[in-house]
Amino acid sequence: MRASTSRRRGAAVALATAALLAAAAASGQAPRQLAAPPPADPGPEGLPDFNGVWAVEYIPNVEQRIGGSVPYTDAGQEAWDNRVMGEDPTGYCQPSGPSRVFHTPFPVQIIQTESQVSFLFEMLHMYHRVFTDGRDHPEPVDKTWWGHSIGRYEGDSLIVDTVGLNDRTWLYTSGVQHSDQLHLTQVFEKTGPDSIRYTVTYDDPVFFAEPWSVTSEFTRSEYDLLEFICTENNRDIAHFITE
Amino acid sequence: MNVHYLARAGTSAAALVLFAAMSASAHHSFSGQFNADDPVAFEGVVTRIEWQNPHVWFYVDAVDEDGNVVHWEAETTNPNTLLRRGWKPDDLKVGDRVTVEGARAFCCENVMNARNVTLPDGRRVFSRDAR
Repeated sequence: MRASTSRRRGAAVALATAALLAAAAASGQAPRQLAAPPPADPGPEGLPDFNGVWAVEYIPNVEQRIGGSVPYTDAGQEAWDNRVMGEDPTGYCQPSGPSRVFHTPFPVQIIQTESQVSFLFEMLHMYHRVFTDGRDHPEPVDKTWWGHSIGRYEGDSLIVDTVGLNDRTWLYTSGVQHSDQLHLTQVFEKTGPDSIRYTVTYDDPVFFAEPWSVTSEFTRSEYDLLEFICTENNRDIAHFITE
Repeated sequence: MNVHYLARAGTSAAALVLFAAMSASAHHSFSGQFNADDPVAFEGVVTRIEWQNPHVWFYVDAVDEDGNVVHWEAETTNPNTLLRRGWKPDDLKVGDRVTVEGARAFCCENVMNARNVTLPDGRRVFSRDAR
């Protein structure tokens, strides 16, 4: 019985594999041309203006950036020591979450109104919303891939506070993981007409012994966002079929 | 239809190889799948190009020291990054004789990450920085 189930699953996987490969071979292709970004409309009066398409810094190995290990608790260290690189969730097209997405090779468009800042990410064709209308986080808050984000302005900065994150994302390609107690603070400081300084602080009492931060720079992108459909030709079929 | 892959899936033993190759062809970090300490270079003829997400793949038939044809499967990064690095979709064509340099995959024989390709006109295109 067990062997039969296994054979059926094997056959299903083989069929799905064939279908996937056939679809990949027969379907369209990824973008083939670059374009200039759309005009950056002026943002709301009296606020630092973040509108536009921004190139971000790719930081796959945060350990190199901070010059050492992340300050793990025992639980965090155990997760790090036992990380399996092939289990990177983005490897099989699961969301990056709201912080790793700013340390990928892909640009980001920011659309800013008085009550909301919306991020359109080329990475995996994702978006995220930050509410700046004065609301609080819901209580209780659901644990989701992107969590719940609220923002406020201080001088030239937008400060984003995010809670309600699940524990299924990696914070960096190197394999930094976290618990569902992760609390993110992201500061976007407008340092010039074409530059933003981005600082993210990770506070997770389960995985990190103390809060730690990473700063990187955004510059206005020469190119528009391109489509990026992760499942287009992703052959990691084992991760697409659950038990 | 990718006959090359489907033919391989014919037996369970071959299917294991297929799964290993699939795991290498997901969207992933370099270090998890490829061995930077195991460089490889070969010259051959391009047989197929998949300009698709999450990573662009191309296939090259090369001849080894014993005169046997080796079917190389070469991965690069995502197409959007290649575009922005100046590697255009038409730079590589089926039938082109190219030289490919990069690193072998941990998973399986004849699968590699192509760091750079020397095109028939001598120009080099890069998938990632030297490391």
